[in-house]
Amino acid sequence: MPAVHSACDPRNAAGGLGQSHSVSLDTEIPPERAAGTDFAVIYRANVAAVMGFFARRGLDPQTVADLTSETFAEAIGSLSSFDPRKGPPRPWLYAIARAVYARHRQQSTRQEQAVKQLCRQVVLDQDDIEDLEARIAAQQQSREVLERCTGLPELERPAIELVDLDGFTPAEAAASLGVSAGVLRVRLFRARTKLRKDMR
Amino acid sequence: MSNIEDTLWEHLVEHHGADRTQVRSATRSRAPRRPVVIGTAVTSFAAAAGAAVLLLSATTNAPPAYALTKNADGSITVTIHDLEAAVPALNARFAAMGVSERVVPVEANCPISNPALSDAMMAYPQATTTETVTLGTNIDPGYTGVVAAEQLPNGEVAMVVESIKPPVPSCFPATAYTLENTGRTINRTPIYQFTPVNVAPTPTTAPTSTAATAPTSTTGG
Repeated sequence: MPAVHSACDPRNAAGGLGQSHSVSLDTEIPPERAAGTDFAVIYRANVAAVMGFFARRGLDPQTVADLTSETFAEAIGSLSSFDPRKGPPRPWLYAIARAVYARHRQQSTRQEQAVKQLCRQVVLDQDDIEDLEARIAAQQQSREVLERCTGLPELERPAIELVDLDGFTPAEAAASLGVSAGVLRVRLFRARTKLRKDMR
Repeated sequence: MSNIEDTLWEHLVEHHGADRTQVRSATRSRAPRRPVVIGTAVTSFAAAAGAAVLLLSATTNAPPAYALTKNADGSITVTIHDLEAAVPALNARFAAMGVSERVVPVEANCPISNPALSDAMMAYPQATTTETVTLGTNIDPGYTGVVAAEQLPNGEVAMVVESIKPPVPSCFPATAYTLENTGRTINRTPIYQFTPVNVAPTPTTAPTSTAATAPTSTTGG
């Protein structure tokens, strides 16, 4: 089905954003030697984190697997934009993951959903499902934090998630969100202040 | 790797050739130059569905068509108020200065097809919003800096900074973009979202704020 394949091609996906970043800390590859690195190295170093990103969003195991797969497929499609000298790949992958998740939420028509299902269905066995269920359960606390952030402005929500849940440095989080580190720090401070106030 | 990680990897290998993919040197990629942004209240962000647009508010007391400032660090700050008048004048100025930059209007009746544009737009719009745009000097060899600019119905000029491989098209079709008001503002300036259609989602990086010293400024139009 050429039409479906075309729709599945990550190069045909509109929207999305990311950062020009690099392979370093989270892949243990010195930036100067990152060129020529197999994508497998990036995958191995980041797949658990990306899966965690989706697992904390109240999704079922199949969707977590599909969106994780879609994120890495899009990363392959846009790898030529990835600059290995400028920072680790995780902020870049998270930016793609956010775009993938946003599109997932926006798919409104049944036709879009059907095409998407045809494209990205990862075939899971029982062990896979149990593994995913364990990861989803492990994200329960993070999910609760995210839910508390629901009322925060757009930039503050992911700032909290990246820095406080995923362990990004403010600079990495800023790069992933496409803002300056200064803006990120301000937003992070405001978000934490609001959350503390809400919890009292 | 755990079981599910192996399963996903096998899926990526089978459907996307993940095992044949390598990180390339950045110099071989289509990495765009990064604009250096100068000014007060420099703020930037990327919206979830695409890159934000640089917006310059038109004023009511007939400003010049454009303003060009050459900064001491070699970068160039550009402001456009009247796109039609600014395009030829600015491009002539760039040529006279020996600068590898072009202003390309986004037009509704531009005859260039989306596939042709799609290739050009593999250079990624920058996720930036500020009052001025400053064009950096770090354009990759073989590329030309491009400012894709569109005069909006409300008089504002939306711009995306990119670098593309020549030949530089004479226009970009408006149909290649979706442009929408995000509803957000910075310093009361509305922020639009400028998303290329049929273009791969591509990484962008927040511009860095750089102090300019001893700029020299000219205006035109």
